[in-house]
Amino acid sequence: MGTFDSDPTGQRAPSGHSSPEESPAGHVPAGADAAPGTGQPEEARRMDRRRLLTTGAATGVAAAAVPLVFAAVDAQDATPPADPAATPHDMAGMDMSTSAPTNVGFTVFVPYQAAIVQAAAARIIPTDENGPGATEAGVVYFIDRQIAKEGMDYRGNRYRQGPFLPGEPTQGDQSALAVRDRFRIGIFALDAYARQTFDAGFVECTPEQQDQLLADLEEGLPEGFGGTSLQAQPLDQSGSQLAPNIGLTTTTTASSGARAFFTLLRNYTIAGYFSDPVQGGNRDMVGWKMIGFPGAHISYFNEIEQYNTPFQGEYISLGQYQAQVGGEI
Amino acid sequence: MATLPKTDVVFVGFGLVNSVIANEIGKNTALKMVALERGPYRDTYPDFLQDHFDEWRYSQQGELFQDLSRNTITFRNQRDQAALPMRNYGSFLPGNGVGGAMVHWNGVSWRFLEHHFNYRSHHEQRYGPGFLPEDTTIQDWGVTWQDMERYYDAYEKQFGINGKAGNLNGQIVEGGNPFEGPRSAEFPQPPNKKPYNTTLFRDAANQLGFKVFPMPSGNSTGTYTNPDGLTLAPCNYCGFCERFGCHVGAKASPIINVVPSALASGNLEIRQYSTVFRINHTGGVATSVSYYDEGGQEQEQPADLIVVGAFMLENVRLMLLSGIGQPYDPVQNTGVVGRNYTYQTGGASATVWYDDKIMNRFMGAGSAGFAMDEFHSDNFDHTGLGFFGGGNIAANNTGARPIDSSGPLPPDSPTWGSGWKATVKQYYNRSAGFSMQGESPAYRQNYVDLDPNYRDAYGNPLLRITFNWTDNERKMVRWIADNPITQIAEAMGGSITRVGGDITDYSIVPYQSTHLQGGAVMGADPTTSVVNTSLQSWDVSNLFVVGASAFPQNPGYNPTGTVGALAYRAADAIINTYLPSPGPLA
Ligand SMILES: Cc1cc2nc3c(=O)[nH]c(=O)nc-3n(C[C@H](O)[C@H](O)[C@H](O)COP(=O)(O)OP(=O)(O)OC[C@H]3O[C@@H](n4cnc5c(N)ncnc54)[C@H](O)[C@@H]3O)c2cc1C
Repeated sequence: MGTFDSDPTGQRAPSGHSSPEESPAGHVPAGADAAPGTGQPEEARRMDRRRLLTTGAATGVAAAAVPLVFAAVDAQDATPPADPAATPHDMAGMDMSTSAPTNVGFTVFVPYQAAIVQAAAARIIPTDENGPGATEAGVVYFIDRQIAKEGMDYRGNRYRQGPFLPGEPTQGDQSALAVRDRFRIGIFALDAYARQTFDAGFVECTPEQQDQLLADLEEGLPEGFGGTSLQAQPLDQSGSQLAPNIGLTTTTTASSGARAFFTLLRNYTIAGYFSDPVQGGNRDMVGWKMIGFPGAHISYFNEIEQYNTPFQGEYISLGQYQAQVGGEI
Repeated sequence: MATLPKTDVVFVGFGLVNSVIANEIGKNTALKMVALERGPYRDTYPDFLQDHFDEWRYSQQGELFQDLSRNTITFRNQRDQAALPMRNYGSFLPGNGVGGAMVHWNGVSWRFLEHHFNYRSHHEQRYGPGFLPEDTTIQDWGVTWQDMERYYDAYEKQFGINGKAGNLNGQIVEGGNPFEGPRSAEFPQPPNKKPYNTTLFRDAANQLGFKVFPMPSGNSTGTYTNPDGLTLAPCNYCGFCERFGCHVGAKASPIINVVPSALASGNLEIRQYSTVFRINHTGGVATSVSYYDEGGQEQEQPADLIVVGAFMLENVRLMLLSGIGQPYDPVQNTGVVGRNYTYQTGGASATVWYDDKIMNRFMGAGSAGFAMDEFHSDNFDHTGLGFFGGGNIAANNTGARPIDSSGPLPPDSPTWGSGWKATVKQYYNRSAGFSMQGESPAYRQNYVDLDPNYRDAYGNPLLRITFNWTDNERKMVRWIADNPITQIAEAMGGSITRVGGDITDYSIVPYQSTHLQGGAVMGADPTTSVVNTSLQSWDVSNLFVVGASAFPQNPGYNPTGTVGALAYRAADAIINTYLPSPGPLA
């Protein structure tokens, strides 16, 4: 899978180390196995359930099992991990050395979130007969870098003073919610919706199931998507002494409803696919190559009036252009 | 707060208007000048030559525009709504920095038509007094096209505008716009190169008998040296034009065409990062301006003469914050400051997709294109049509950076997934579009004032815009779409065609244009204007307020050619009439 293979976050072992306190039963598997109803012993499932976050009162459906962090960012990558068995839970015994580059990773997302964003982006711009998609373009890195910028969202510096009132559609988005929190809420809600609908986390769903979930979001479903109110649920009948389940109530606002989150995800995915690689996405200019946008060309003076003639020049990124006009730094 | 040493002239904002006026004062007098500009100074080198090709940074995130986290506007469609802040870039993108918004404009550079300047009397003469709807506050400018001609000429020569004259001293010239007023001179440069898509529009419209002409353009055709010895390079058609500074110094702009000459006077100091918030005045005389410096500290700069050229929005807001002129009251229909706010009516457009043609849409320049004026304003008979007005119909190609321009895609195309990808791949480079830029009449209910609730970063009230389209514009857009636009789109051939012709309520959300007019309009009558025909405040005679804020209403053209001409007119009045004998001008 092109450039993505070389990315350290694609390595399963380190991410498997990152959440050692998971399951007392020690059965914590990678990926799909963590989902309820996928072959764990009944007892272990109940143990897990106590630690699950649920989508809350309206649905009452268990969701977002914590072990999802084991769904590595490259869950869709066909390449098998170097050592699939290497998922020890004993921190003391871990070998922390890695050959991964030191300067790649996530600045806002945690791998759990990145995996879901990456899986969704891969359905918005799939890898298919028309070439590389959002995964190869590194869209998730673009999004991670952009939402790290304080006060900025898709359309730049945002006016952030109150009062915050809902307003009319002609008045634009009025929410106080920062873009990174929109992602935070939306990612969690999408995963919860996947569990509610298909009994599997979003990353573990089949591409067809993922498409259906995203199509629902685009239609504004489910209602109540993206609630923000944490509430304790009644204790499990098993009478566990562990923490109560946590539920999210289902208030929806323009900035956190299903359609708004879909639009956010789609806009950022497309921007990450087509922006200059300097911004973190469009790796190897795969987005540009797909449509034939040549990039940072200093001049088309000689070509502009050669009508109906395919342009033969090379693809040039801003970085390559800057090396030409600015020289070595 | 510090009170600084007095200077002769202070400029508020340093975009098109004030760079032109400072340059003329600098060349013709020995006055000391201070310019206060809220944004930074950026130049071709190193800023635009070494960056510029970054769609995300410049086009989506708005690197060069007004910082909305500090200052924005509030908006509502009508008075019974709560106005809410424009929190993100949307409908328009005000400039920020030395050179103003021309640093990142497209370069479409019109002269208005003759009857635009006497718009009310023209309609009353042709159709009778009751023809314009009762709620329009359309009015004459107080100047004629003939009064303005030499200022248009000066602007075009300073900025090296290219195009083809259609009326030279009263002679209609083949290949130009036959509807334009009589020019005293040809354009300073011949038309620039044209992208393929614009020639398909030209050929189809010509075939239908319309007189298509090259769009007047500020994307330099060749190497052009202006009367002050400043040189534009030839445009490279790089396709990063609107929203970007030019990397080779080929886009007409104050930073290329004016600022170096204004500074060369030796009498001008430009202070960057200086945000003016009040004009201080007493007894009808302005004494100083108050501003926040780069660190946010309040400063007071005294001066004998104050020229405000801070773009329409800030021109009007500063008048209101300073308590100069009577604020407009739409209920009582009294007052003037904030009255006659207008915009630009879009919505009539067509796109044609071809399966057998490649457009190379990524090659382009903001105003490389063709236009026609048969359906502009009153160039056609409106008897029985049920609306007045119209607009210029044109095709240009500012480039096709792919975040914004992976589309337009044919109707009902998928919006994501493999279907979307296949469609984008097929049609990204195969569409040709054109549209009408419609006029925006002035109405009693459309206006600007100070917002009662929202404030800027310094605690001053934001400007509030109350604006909507009326049935007149809705009918105008529908009719233009159903008639010339549909005819031309059909004549263009292609596999798929879409015509758009519906406008409902004005929305602040999608980008439309940075063409904002009115609020401090010029005129011969102080009860319906804020400045006189020399752009001088009726109330404070050592204050000039210059820009599209002076337009009583907006025709179906981009405003900047006329803003530039008004700047030359104000400079002329200041230097040759006001300075010899300061006081109210006729
Ligand atoms: C993306 C874009 C494309 C455009 N394309 C076209 C086109 O093709 N054709 C056309 O005719 N027009 C176009 N325009 C509009 C054109 O740029 C403006 O009409 C023109 O710049 C107006 O000149 P001005 O001097 O009035 O204002 P500006 O050029 O905006 O200059 C005003 C200056 O004042 C400064 N300022 C504002 N408030 C303060 C304050 N309180 N204190 C200190 N400084 C302040 C601003 O920072 C700015 O630099 C476009 C505009 C944009 C944004």
